[in-house]
Amino acid sequence: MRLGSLTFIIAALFLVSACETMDEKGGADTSGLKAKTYDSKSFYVAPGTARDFVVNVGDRVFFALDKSSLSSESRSMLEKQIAWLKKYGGVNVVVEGHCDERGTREYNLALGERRANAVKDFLVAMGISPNRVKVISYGKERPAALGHNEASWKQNRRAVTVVAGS
Amino acid sequence: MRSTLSISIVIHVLVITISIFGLPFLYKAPAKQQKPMVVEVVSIGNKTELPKPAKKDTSKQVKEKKENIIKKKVKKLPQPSIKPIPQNKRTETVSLRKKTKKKTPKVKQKKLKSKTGFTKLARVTPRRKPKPPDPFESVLRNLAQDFDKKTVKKVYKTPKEDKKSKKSDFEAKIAKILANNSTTESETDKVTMTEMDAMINTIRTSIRPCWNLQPGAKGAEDIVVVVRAYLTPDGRVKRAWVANRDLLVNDPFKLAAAETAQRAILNEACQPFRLDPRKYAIWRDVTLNFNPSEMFGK
Amino acid sequence: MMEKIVLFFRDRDAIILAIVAIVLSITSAKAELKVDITRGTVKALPVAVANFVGTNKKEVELGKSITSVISSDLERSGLFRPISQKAFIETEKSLDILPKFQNWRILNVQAMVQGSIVILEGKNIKVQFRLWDVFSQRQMVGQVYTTVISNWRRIAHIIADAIYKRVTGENGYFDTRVVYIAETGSQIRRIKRLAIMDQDSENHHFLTDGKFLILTPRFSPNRQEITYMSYHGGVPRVYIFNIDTGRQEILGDFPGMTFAPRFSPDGNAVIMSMARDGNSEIYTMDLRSRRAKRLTRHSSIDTSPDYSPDGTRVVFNSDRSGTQQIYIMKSDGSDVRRITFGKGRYATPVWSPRGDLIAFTKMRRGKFFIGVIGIDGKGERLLTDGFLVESPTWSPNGRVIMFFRETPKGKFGDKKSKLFSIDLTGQNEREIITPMDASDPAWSPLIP
Repeated sequence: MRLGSLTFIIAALFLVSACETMDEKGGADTSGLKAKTYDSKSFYVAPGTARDFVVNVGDRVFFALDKSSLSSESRSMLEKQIAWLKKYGGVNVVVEGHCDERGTREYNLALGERRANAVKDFLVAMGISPNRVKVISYGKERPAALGHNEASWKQNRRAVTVVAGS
Repeated sequence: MRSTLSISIVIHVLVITISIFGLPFLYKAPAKQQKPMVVEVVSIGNKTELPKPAKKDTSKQVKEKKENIIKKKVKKLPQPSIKPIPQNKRTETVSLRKKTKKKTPKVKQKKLKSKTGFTKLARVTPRRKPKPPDPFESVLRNLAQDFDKKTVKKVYKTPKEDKKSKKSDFEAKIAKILANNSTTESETDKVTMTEMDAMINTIRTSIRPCWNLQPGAKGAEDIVVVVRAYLTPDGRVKRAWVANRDLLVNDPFKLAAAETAQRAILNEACQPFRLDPRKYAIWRDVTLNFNPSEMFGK
Repeated sequence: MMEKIVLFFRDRDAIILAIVAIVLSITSAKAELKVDITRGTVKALPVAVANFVGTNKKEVELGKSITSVISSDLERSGLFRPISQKAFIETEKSLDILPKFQNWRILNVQAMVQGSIVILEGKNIKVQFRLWDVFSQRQMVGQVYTTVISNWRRIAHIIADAIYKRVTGENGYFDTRVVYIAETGSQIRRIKRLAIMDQDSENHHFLTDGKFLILTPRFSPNRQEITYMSYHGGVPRVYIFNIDTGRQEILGDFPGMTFAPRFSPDGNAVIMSMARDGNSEIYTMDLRSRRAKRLTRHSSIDTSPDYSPDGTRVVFNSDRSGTQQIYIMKSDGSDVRRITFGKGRYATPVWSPRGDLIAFTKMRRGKFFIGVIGIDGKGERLLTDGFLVESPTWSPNGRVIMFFRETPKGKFGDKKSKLFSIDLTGQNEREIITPMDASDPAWSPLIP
């Protein structure tokens, strides 16, 4: 009986922390990259981890409608990613390409692939080994922001660099 | 020429007779012996297999057979059974074929009869044909037209008016020519062009709600069905059949189009045609060309 | 002309008839009035479907069920209007009695369906039906089927197909199924499962468990197989699923994402896109030799390929002009021609089974449309529109198009997604009922 309640408490704690993490991630999603202060206050983020990358570097770049070219903003974001990747040379990443809901499914899969590759090409051009970077396209299947307006669509036309472990 | 004319008369008379007496002796006898429904029992596997060719044959046999059952008085039909086509089946088919054969030459023969006063009647129809199709009245829906309303409106308003004026011009000319002709040839039946027009229009507008078209089918706009009909003096359809059935019967889609036209003329909901009984001689025998091309936007 | 006359006179019976006719005739033939009928109406054909009769309670019940399936198939097509059975004056108790056509004429019924059911010893039933033309009082078609009782729905669909075919002249499409993607969960982590059902939404089954994303299924033209894209194991690839065995199998060993698969018309190949280094090109894969062949070579996106019914050409989607447009090429990849030049972006071309039309999705001014266009690029017609309509698929007779429609729902950016069908004429749009949200429909061929 005692053991049971103990497990329950531990489980509950886990759940709470899990929720927090989710929140932070969500916060990072919508406001871009400025969730840093809040995060580092509440939790210790181990350097070189996926969380470190998301919180302290920023994992995504955005694209214009129907485009896969990188804006100057995106380039400077990617440069930060490159610096981090160079620092933690053993870490591999997967670049996910995404689209907004205003296109057809199959074309969007191709467009997402193009976006992910635009990021990969940039990383490789700046000295990251191509073996460390994989790409995957989700088309319009995995939106980050709900809502059927330009504000949401903007956030969904994105490429997300996900740290896959070493 | 003379022989052709006599053939024509023979056939003509023949058809009228048939229409009145309904091919009496050809049908009555065989009908009694006919088995109503010779159908093969088609077995269907639990999931899929359905021997299709067998099924098709069946339906064909049944269809041909059926035509007999309908012929009068046969109320009680024997039980359906699986049987080969009986001997008399042969005579049956033959007689049916005759019927259709007769019709086709008949229509053609008519044209040879140009010496009589009926010529002008034949000439009346062509003037209907040049009527320009209005693509915007097509039964096929297109949202783009609503979507681009502004542009569409501009495009079609002017030409429509143009067409109208042109048409009336054209009509007037033709009417003049025809009117001249008619004065010289109208000894037998005194029908003016306007009366003729009125008759055609009456029939046309009466049938319109009963002609139930099938838009959307491939090639639907190209099928013209010619239906011959005999009318009673009170303007009802006594008998009607598809004159160019031979050309249509082998293609299921054409057959469907033919039957649709036939249903249109047989549909009592659209009768009687309000025609002048004094001119019965003119309109008792009608040929209708069902041509959907205009409606399908061609 | 002369030939016909000679033929005519060879017919001895005809001559006799002709002579009789002359003797009987009093007046000579009269004038013939010619009328060109150029306009009609487009209405559903009023049809009466009488309950299939039986001799015991069980047969009668089954008869009612079959009748209602036939009736709703016909009704859903939009081409028939089954009149309410309550209006019937009298129904025939047996199939072997000539119907009292006058009773049906009064109701302005133009075609009448009657049938009977006999439960045979064991598990079999014998189902008979006749279709009558009420005006001409002729039987149009009559057939008998024997099958196991559990198959009664299929019999009903097959009968509905026979009626449809006889009346319209086109093949039916009722004995078919639809495979689609069943959607559940939030939009951010949408669960997408492969599901299959009859075209009337009955017999619904899930084919996959939803662990992995599944997209864009398509039927094989001649086997119990479906091809689709799956994110199985996190690797997006084209798969083939066998409906009978439930087995799925990855198609080929490609270095990049494979997607947008369709079977070739003979069922022996799959055409699809493969993405490599961000560039999507079209490939075919022979299912027997397992050899892939590349068809397009262009730095743009080339996807959504679909064979013409004769297999000689391929229609596909490409943005090589700068925006998404539809192109046709020969099936060896040569002779590429653009067919869409209208305003807006065009996508998801699907070749009509009849061969004369391409159905597509169009995007313009923030709206989506489903439309059709001739293979020569002429005669574009938009059939329906919405916030999002996508993924047209043809009924096997090329008469009806099914697609899915997404509509925003609620305040929190959610949306619902449902299947719809629409007639080629742009009329008769109907929702196809599914137990949950649905997308990416694909219509089966007529069940073999």
